[in-house]
Amino acid sequence: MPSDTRILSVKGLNVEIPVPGAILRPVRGVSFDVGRGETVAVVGESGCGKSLTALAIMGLLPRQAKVRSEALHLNDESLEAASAKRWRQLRGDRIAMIFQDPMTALDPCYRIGDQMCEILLQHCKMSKSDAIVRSIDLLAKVGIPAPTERLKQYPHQLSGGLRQRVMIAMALLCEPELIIADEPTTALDVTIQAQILRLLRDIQRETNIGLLLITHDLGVVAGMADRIVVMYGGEVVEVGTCDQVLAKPLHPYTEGLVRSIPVPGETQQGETLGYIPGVVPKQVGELVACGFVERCPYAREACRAGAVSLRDAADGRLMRCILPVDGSGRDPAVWFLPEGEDTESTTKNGSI
Amino acid sequence: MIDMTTPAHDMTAVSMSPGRVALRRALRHGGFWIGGTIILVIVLLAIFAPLITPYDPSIQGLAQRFVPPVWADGGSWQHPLGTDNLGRDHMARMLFGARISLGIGLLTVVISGSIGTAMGICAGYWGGWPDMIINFFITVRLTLPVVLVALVVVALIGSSLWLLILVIGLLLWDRFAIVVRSATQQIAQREYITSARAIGSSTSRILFREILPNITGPLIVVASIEIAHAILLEAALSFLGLGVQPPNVSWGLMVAEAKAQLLFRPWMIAIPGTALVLLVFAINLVGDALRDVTTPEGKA
Repeated sequence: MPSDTRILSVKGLNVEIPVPGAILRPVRGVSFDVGRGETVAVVGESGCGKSLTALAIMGLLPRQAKVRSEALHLNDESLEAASAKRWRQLRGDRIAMIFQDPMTALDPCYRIGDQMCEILLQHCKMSKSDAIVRSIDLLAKVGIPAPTERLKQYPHQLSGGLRQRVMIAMALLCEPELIIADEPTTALDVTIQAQILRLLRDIQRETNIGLLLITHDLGVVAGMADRIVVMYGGEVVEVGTCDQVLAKPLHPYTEGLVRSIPVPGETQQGETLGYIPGVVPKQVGELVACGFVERCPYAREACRAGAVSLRDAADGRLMRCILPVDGSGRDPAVWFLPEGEDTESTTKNGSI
Repeated sequence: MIDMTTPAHDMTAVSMSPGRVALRRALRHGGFWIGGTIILVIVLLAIFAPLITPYDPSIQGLAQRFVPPVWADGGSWQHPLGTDNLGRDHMARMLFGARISLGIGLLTVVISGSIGTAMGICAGYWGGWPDMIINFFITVRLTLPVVLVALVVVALIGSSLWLLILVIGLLLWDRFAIVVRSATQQIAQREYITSARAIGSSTSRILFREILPNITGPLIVVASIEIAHAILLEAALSFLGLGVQPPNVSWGLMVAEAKAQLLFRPWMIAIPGTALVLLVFAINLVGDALRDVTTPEGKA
């Protein structure tokens, strides 16, 4: 990607959390870029470090967590070097965040309008009356009927879908360059999910902002993302365009994720879906083998020889696996083995 | 005939602030009515004391000693609640005493509430070592016997009204700190606090504009209980002779002055005593009602 369109650049991001007796490393050397007008989806199951990556980019991790990175740039400004004051200026103004649960992300004590105007008064130095006009504009833009009345209401008077629309409107208030959406539709029901995702996509195309979409739902990714970053155990295991990754996953973990989704028109009723045995292991200490080896149906001796590095695959893709990059030597049937036959992969998860 | 022009929902009509919602619920609460009425009457009597009684509470009249109240033999409407051993009008003393009792209750709670809330919010929001230090102070405070410490301080420095308020205020912040701390811990976990940080709010803004409004419920309840607590403590100290000093008058002091007459003129001690019980009872009723009103699952 040409550097002039790059908004966010993350390189070698590490998060370390000291716990009694050990240091958790939930994010290890994560690197990716987000360009102007681009949607990058970070996918992975729970505990893969997706949300922590997002919080680290926003500088919102708790104090105990240590963030190290080779580079963390927003428009060529280093975020690591930013002072607390600079962070406050950036957040809400240049980077905005949409949270998972709209039911708890709005302060119940203030009217919608007050919460929106507060951002404008603080960042854009607008007058109160201008701020109200802008808030009404944006509420209308995100498809909220009767925005002038909604402005005077309290969060508890809005449904979940409406609240998430308000969150999106709040994120857009100061025309940020980057929006981080941390599972923006997980707490909503399916019809509302589709509406919210379409809204996000339309707004993103219209305003040409960068969107970093954190999700565990590949169905969400399929309709939204330009590029996909697959995370497992705190590491990036595969990067590619949306079509490439979904059509022909390279890393066994991605393959497992893709195989676990029913395909409309192809998956028959009663047919078994694929699954990945085991759970994400605790992220303690250095890796001495491939992080996925305990759960990988293709695991072999060489996988345990040492940590695997991210390498170039064909067509500008990246993957962290020793299997051939052309995708040979794979058998999709491995994901459909009944339980009990995959004894090797379920035995010792949790210990790297 | 159905009017098709009016919308199905009048959305502005239901947009009440949380404060107004709480007030509306409070007005449907029996305890709030009873307690609130008693408090309101006492407060009004205290405020308009000079208009209600023609007497000065400290003017003595030796010819008029021990006049019984109007309902007893020998009583008259000239002194509706009688006079005390120095011939001072009991009703005037009750009315002006209410000013001091209520004033002490309110002012001490302002002091102790500020201290306790500040400590509790800091401890609850930051956790870690600020929490440990503040918890240490709370524990130290809890080990101090309030009455004894207050007695020692007043005995050493000498008693004045302001010193009394300060001492009680500095001793009663523990419950505020404990309640506010745990309430803050709960609120700080909420996503809207992270959200506030994500839009670039400063820490002080989060503490005072986001957390404080969200803990007003428990704060009001503790404050009401602590007002009653402070009034009782003042009465106790005055009874022991180390609280309010003459020529000031408080209900506790009146109880103390009347105790010598307990067997002969029991109304002297019964009147301020009953008033104290009534006031504390009313405050507790209101506090209880506020708890019901401010907790969403409370019976409204």
